[in-house]
Formats: sequence, structure tokens, C-alpha cells
Amino acid sequence: MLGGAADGRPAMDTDAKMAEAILAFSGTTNGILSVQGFKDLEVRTGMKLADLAEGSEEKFITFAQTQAGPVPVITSPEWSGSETGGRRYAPFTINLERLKPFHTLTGRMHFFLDHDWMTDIGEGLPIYRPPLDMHRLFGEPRLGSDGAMEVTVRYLTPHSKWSIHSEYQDNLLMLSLSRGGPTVWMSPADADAIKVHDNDWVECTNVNGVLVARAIVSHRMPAGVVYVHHAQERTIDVPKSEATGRRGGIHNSVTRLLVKPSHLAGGYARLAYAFNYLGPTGNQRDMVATVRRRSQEVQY
Amino acid sequence: MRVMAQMGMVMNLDKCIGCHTCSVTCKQAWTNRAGMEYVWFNNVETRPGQGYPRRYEDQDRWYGGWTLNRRGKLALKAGGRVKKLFGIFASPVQPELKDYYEPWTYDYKTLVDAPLGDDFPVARPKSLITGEDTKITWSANWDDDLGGSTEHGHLDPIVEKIRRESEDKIKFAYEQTFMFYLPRICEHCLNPSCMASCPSGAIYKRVEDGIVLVDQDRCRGWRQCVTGCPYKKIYFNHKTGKAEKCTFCYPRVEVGLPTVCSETCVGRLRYLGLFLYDADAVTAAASVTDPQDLYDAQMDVLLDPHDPRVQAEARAQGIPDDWLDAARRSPVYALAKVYKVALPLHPEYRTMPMVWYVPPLSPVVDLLRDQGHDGEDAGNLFGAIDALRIPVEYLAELFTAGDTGRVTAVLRKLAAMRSFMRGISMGEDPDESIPESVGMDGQGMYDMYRLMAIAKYSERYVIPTAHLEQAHDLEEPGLLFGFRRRTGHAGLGTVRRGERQTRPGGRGHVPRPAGPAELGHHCRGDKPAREGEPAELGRPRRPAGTFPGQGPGAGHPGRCRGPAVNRPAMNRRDQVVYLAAAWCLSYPDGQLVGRVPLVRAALSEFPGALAGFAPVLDLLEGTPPMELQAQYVREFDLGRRHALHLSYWTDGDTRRRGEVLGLFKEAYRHSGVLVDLDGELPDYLPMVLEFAARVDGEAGQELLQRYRASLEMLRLGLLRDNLPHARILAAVCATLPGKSPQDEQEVMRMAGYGPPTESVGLDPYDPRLLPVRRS
Repeated sequence: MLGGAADGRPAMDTDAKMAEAILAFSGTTNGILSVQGFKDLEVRTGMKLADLAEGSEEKFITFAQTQAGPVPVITSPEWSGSETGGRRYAPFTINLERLKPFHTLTGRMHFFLDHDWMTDIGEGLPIYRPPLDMHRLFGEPRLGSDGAMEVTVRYLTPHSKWSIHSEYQDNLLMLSLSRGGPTVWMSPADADAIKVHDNDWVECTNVNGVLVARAIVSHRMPAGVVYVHHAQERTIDVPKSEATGRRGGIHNSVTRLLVKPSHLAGGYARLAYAFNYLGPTGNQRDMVATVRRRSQEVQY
Repeated sequence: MRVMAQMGMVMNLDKCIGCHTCSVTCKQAWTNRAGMEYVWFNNVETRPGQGYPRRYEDQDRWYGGWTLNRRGKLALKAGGRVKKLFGIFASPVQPELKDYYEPWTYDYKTLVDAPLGDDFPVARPKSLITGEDTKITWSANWDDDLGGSTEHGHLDPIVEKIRRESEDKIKFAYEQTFMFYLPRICEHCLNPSCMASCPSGAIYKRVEDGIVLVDQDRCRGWRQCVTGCPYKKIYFNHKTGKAEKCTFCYPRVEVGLPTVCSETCVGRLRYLGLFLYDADAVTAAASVTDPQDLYDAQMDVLLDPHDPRVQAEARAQGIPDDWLDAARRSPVYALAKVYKVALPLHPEYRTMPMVWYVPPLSPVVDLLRDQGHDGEDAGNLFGAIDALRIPVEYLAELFTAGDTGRVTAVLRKLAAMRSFMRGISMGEDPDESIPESVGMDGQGMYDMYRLMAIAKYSERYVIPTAHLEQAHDLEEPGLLFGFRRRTGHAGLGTVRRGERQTRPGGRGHVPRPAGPAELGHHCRGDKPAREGEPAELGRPRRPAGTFPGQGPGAGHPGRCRGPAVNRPAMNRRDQVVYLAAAWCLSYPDGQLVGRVPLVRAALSEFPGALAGFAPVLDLLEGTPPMELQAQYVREFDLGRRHALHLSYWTDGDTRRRGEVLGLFKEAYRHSGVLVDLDGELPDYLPMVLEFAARVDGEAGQELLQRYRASLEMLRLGLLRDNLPHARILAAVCATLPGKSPQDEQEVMRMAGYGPPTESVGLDPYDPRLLPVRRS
């Protein structure tokens, strides 16, 4: 790199150094930045905030520390919660307790979006919208059983009671306290229609992809809906699928993001692109998938 | 009346979210071992469901608990001694692995070892019993959240019973879904059938707190207890061949800490406290004819800790006053006997279980809400409790031997509380008619609400500590560390009086007081300090001025042997300062706090000496012990800002440190003592101070001066964080030659060092560690 643009600057030539650089640039891992960020925010808001991070100036979370074990992060203006003094994180703590204005036009928490496009499509306020007709719109199979050993159902991916994303549900102890691998919750009616018993291997398919998992049949599920809990890891007990011959997927293998015009409203008030979610809400959960019983002799 | 104390637990089932944190932390603490893979001392079952092990409640199959024989006397359901004796070599009736579950692990190694392929690698399940590939067909919690109810739901013994006997059949239909979680541990019964089943007498119920334990030395692995326990909460360790069970985390409870399952409970649904009961009345109570009368009988066995007669009797039985006080504040007594909302699990087993449950109102509320009703309206709730017979009957089979009236009464109380408090939080005047409708008054209902909804840690867990101190001679404050004289010139020598004792408050073992003074022959039989006698730190039982190497006896051959004699006399004031500092900077357990008056008195004998210590002494006396200890751990154990280890400041966690620590030990040894480090590092400041005060003043001061920079850094660190201990450090530094530096820069200059750096080994980014490039 001699003579290049990076001359005299910290090297980021390995993944570990890159990680260090990222840690150095976030207030949650670099106490100096956090304090500085809060001081800037004090100037902008006129509210007392810096004390949330004061005393953290000398804290710096290194990559090695994150490898050694979980490290609590530093309260930072990048987020809206506070973990100062051992508190548990909750969203909007700083907005509510320190009166930092919400990131809305009014500075208050509100649900009304007065963007023209939102008004035009009738979504200025959060309202109920029926699920899309995936058959007519995208040619997916019709809901229900078609006489063959398949049933098409709404495919929902709620968070399980054990995890937000992946933490701990794939720990051996937690797996020993559940079914020990990926599962699909089904109603007895749907299971009956395709002759699936509890703990049978099933495949969920649609145009997006395929999921291989074991069925949990329970009267707690209404007919016509399956649950595939969010982010069950595909490192554990995922065999190859019959549909593709490749490794069966994860919950999001059969989902995709559906973009609608309101997602493109931007550059106005708080409506702006942000990583992970484009615009108002994510609706990639509005899916149907076809479930069928598969050969019970699975290959890994 | 024979009053005994029993530790008990209450779980409020409305608050259980089925997260299994209790199970996981319990397993990590107690059963994370070979032979115990399938064992969960604590498990959380979804009900309706079969539980763990499967169908453990089916006593027609497992023969657990007690029954009444033809003469109306209590007898083990599995048969009496004679039957046991004849069948002792036959395998007892007990659940097999398929009834628990076959524990498994995963082929995790594949994830990192798999060769490059078209698909990403995956870890497949392997049996922990056979080591072979396996398909998972049952687990410790297979029917979680009603999973598999179509296949297995009807196998729940209670569902079976209700379907057989009740006119309303339980249907597993979406619209009629109800469920709740039931966390279970050992019941620590007043009338334990496991104990009665054991042919070896290995199971015992502790006299002081009623915790039921298995003596691992006496257990012969007959497994009769596994049969005898109707809750199937005794497990067979197939590696050791012995029975093991939930210990109620007695090592924690003894020092006042809640059990692991309680401590980690996310929903804060567990309560711990004492019951006082009449031990003479237990057998009769367990023998009442009608199983539905067992609840009342069990309640009658519990004694009122506020009753002066009970208190007098308890004192006469040797129950200490602080335990009686704890019994009066007991949340479990309040929930079980005062408010009568906690019920025992399966009283019909006649074991008098001591883990109680507040039955869940949520199945009723949820059904109401799902049907579009206001689930918090008292009228709606009362109506629903009467109308929704299925959940009520199910709960009655669990908690009252099928008596729905009692369960209804509890649920009505909970419903009334919910409705009453809703009115208050909506700003309405308290509606006294609501508590009256369940036989309570507004104040009582509010108190119950407080205990059930917002009770703090200290109110939920009222745990008196074990009276270990009775075993110890607390009248003589001893050293924190065992400085033992090496005898003569015989090398490592023998210990003179090295019996160990446990320090109450629990940092393990420290040696009995064995100071240098004891090393002389004249010290035996001296009396402990009494009021009016001159207060003298550390050794009230010796005449003043006889610290080793000091006073008239110094150098006398019969008094002290070894190289420590004939050291020049150390300033008496410095000695007191060092000792006081050593104690003030040590972990503040009860014993140390108890010494505060003595420390205060001793310091005030020297003009101006007390001032530097007063803030810390005040802190020690004026702060609740838990808070004090938490603060100590936070400030001195966990962070590096106030590290009390002298060479930490100079050498940090580098590889040089071992050598440096060795030098400390060498210094001690050079003064003719061996130090029982008791798990501490030899550069721990209180240890060095005690060494300077009590063993070898000169060498001690030398060590302190050598690490003067560390002392100053520590002082400045404490000062920066406004900790009163800074002044103690200042007092210690003042005894050393030279002026204290003003700031950290000055210290650095004085010491000529920066932050510790590693001078041995390879840097993590060392190019030598990178993969060798093939050329």
C-alpha cells in the first residue's frame, strides 16, 4: 500500500482488523464516540444527555473481547434505549425520559403519515389490510388442499418464545427442551389432509424456495396457517430436500420482500431508506406455501 | 407441639411464560455431568400434557407416594418393608429412558471440518447414549405449547381422568384451547415417600430447614426412591450408580441466596421463605381418609409464626430468633396460609409437598378475551370461572385432589384482585364490594396485590442464613490469611494450629485464628476482649506491646522462633493502621463488619488515625450487607480501576506476572512464614498489609514501598471515583517514606513504567502466526 491512499492510516488488511475498525466507529463499542455523540445531541436538543455515557470514555470493546464472550454495549445516541447503570435495553427510553424529540415531523410519537402517496393508497394510519391473493397476483397455488397430497397454507414466521433472532434457541439444552431441530407448526385439519403425523418430515415449497422441517401437529393452530418460527438455524438437523436435492432451507427460504408504492415514499420526514427495512413496514411475511409429506428417510 | 422450620417455595403460574431459563440454569449448575444427561432437577411442563417423565402422575403404573391401608394407616403405595425386602434384587418399577427421553447431541464437528461441497455442512443428531446417528422422537419437553396434542394429548393422566369421569369432555379443539406452564422441582415434602422407600437410609430431611437430600456415601443404588417419589423427582445417575435429586440449592440458601431457578426466573414468579410446622401432627394430617381433606389437613399443620405460643415453643426447640423473624416475613406463608391462594401439587399423594402453586387465572381470562369479553371485569370473570368448567376441573385434579370448590375460590380471589386493582389504576375509588365478595377487605387485597405483583427481591426471597457462626469462636477476631510459622529450620515445617473454618457470608474457608502471637507458648488461655479492657486490634487477648519483635518479649528465644525475631521494632501506630487497612479493604462479610467497633476503638487510641478510616467504617456499619458486598465486588473484584493486587498495576495479566507473584511468596517465606493463600494471590493488598502488621514489619514495609506506585495509582483511582477507601490508601502511604505524588503522571514518572505490556510470546497479529504462503 506504499504510496496509496491508505498511506499512514490504520491497516485494514485482515478481517480481524476490519472488525476492529467497525468497533472503533460505533458509539456502542467506543466510549469516546458515545460521549461525543451525546454532547452533540445535547447541543441539538437542549436536553441533558451526556451523563448517560459519561464514565465510558475509557471503555473500548475490542474484537478479541467479543470473541471471548458476550460484552455489554455502551449506551449510545445511535440507539434510543439506555443500558446505563445496568438497566435492560428498552426502545425509546431516551425519547421518553430525556425528552429527546422523536424522529417525526412533530417530534412527538405519532402514527399518522401525511405523505401524499400514503393518503392516496389509504394508509395514512395503520389499518388492517387483508392478505394478498397470491394465486391471482403471482400464480401461486390456491389455498387449501387440491386432492393431491399437498396443502397450500398461509406461511407465517413469528418469533418464538425463546428468541428474537437466533440467540440460544439452538443451544443444546434448549434443543433438548424442544423438538431438537427446525419445525413447522400445523393444524390437525391440514395435517390430516396430507396424512402427516406429529414429528413427520415435511417440505414447504413455493416459487421462492423450499424448507425441510419436522411437523408439530397441534390443535393450538387454526386450519390454513402454518408457523415456522423465525430464524431456526440451518446448521442443526437440516436434511437435503426432495424438491431440489440441495440442503433444505430456513424460514426465509420461502419468503421474499414484496415492494409496494408506499415503500418508495422517501426523502420526507422520517420516511427514508434504512438497512433491513425499506420504508414503512416489512411485508415479506405475506406468503403462501405448499406443504407435503416427504420421504421419512432423510439424507444429510 | 414440636415446631420445625421448613424452607418452602411458591410459584405463581400466571406469571410463567415457559421460557425454561430455570431449567437451563439449574441443569448448568447441577446436572451438567456424565450419567445425568437425561436429568432435569427443574423442568417446565406444558399442561395439558404428559409431563416429564411421561405420565409420571399415573400412580397405577409407577406406584409413587403413599396410600392408606385397610386399617387406615399410611403405607407406601409400592409396598411395605417386607415386600421391598423380597423384591429388592428385582428392578424396581421406574421410568426408563424412553419415558424420560434419550438424550442427544449434534455432530458439531462437521460444521467446521466438512470438506468443501455443494451444500453447506449441517450437524445431525447423535445419541448421547449410543453415540450413533439418531432420529429425535422424544425430548425433555416434547409437548411444549401443546405440540403434538393430536398424537399425545389424550395420554395426559389428568385428561384421561376428566374424560372418564366428568360430563364435560376435554376436546382438543382450536376454539377451546387452554394451556399453562407448570415448572416443577423436588417438593421437599414434609412426609417424603422417597425417604421412606430407601432401604439404605441414605435419604434424609435436614432438621434445620427440611431440605430433602441424598447422602451420596450411603446410597447403594437400589432405586426404590425413584419408585417412591410420586413426582419422579429423584433420578438415577447411571455413571455413579447413585440417586440424585434437587438440593433446593442448599449451599446458596445457607448463605441467604435464593435457589438458582428462583434467582434466574425471568417472570419473577417464585417466592422463597420459611414455614413453621408442627412435626408431631404430620403423620395424622397425611392420614386423613378423604383425599379432598388433605389440603385442609396440610394447612392445619402449618403454624402461625405470629402466635406467641408458637414462638415460645420454637425458641424452646432451638430455632433462632432471626429464623422466627424470617418466618413472620415469609412470603410463602402469606400466600399459602394468610391469603390462601397457593395450593400444594397433588396433595392426594399424601407426601405433604412444600412447593406450592398459585393456580393460573390466565386460561380463563384468555378464553374470555378471545370470545370478545372484557377479561378484567369482576362479573365476567366470576361468571366465566363458573362456566368454564374444563380448566377449573383440570386445575382441581392438579392441586386439590379434584375439589373444584377450592380452586374456584382461589381463582375468584385472583379475579377479584385483578378487577379491584384495575379500578384503582383507572383512577376510580376502590370498589370495596369486590374484595368483600371473596371474603377479603380492600387493604388485604391491596397487600396481596403488592406481594403478587410488585414485591421486590428481598420480599420475594426471605431466606435466613444458616447459623454456621455458632460453630465458630467469633469472639477472637482472627487473621484473614493463614500466616503459618515454619518451624525451626526444618524447611517447610508443620502447621501449628491450622484447623479450617467457614467464614459466614461465604468466601469459602479461612484458617482459624492463628496469629504470630499464638506461636509463642505464652498465649494459650488468654481471654477474649471484654468491655472495659483496652481495645487492641487483632489480638485482644494479649497484653499490649507484645507484637512479635516488639516490646519486652522481643528477641526472647522462647517467645518467637525463626528469622522473624529480632527485627527492629515497628511503629505501633503503623501496625494498627496496616491491620485496620487490611480489614477495611477486605471482602465485607458479617465477621469483618462485626469488627468495626474494635477497629474504631483501636484507631482512636492514636491521635488523628481514625479520621482516614471513619468514612469506610461508617459505610461498613451503615450499609445493608448485600449492598456492601455487591459494591465491594463491583469496585474491587470485577473492574480493573481499583485492583487490589499490587503487581497487577505493574505487570497486568502478562506472563511475567507469575514470576512476580513468586517473589511475593518468597518474601513471605523469607520471614519464616508460610501463607495459606486461601485462593488469593500473594500480592493481594490486604494480605501484604496483614503480613506487615502481624508477621514482619520491615519486610512488609519493604514490599509496600517497592509497590508504592501501585498503591498511589490505586489511591488516585479510588479518589477519582469518590470512594472513601482512598483515604485509607493515603493513610497507608503516609507510613511509607517519601511524599505521595499528586497525579498519575507523577506516579508514572516515579515508577518509570507505562501500562503493562507482554514481553513474552507472540502478538496476535504477529506475521509468524499467519498461514505459510506456498510459493
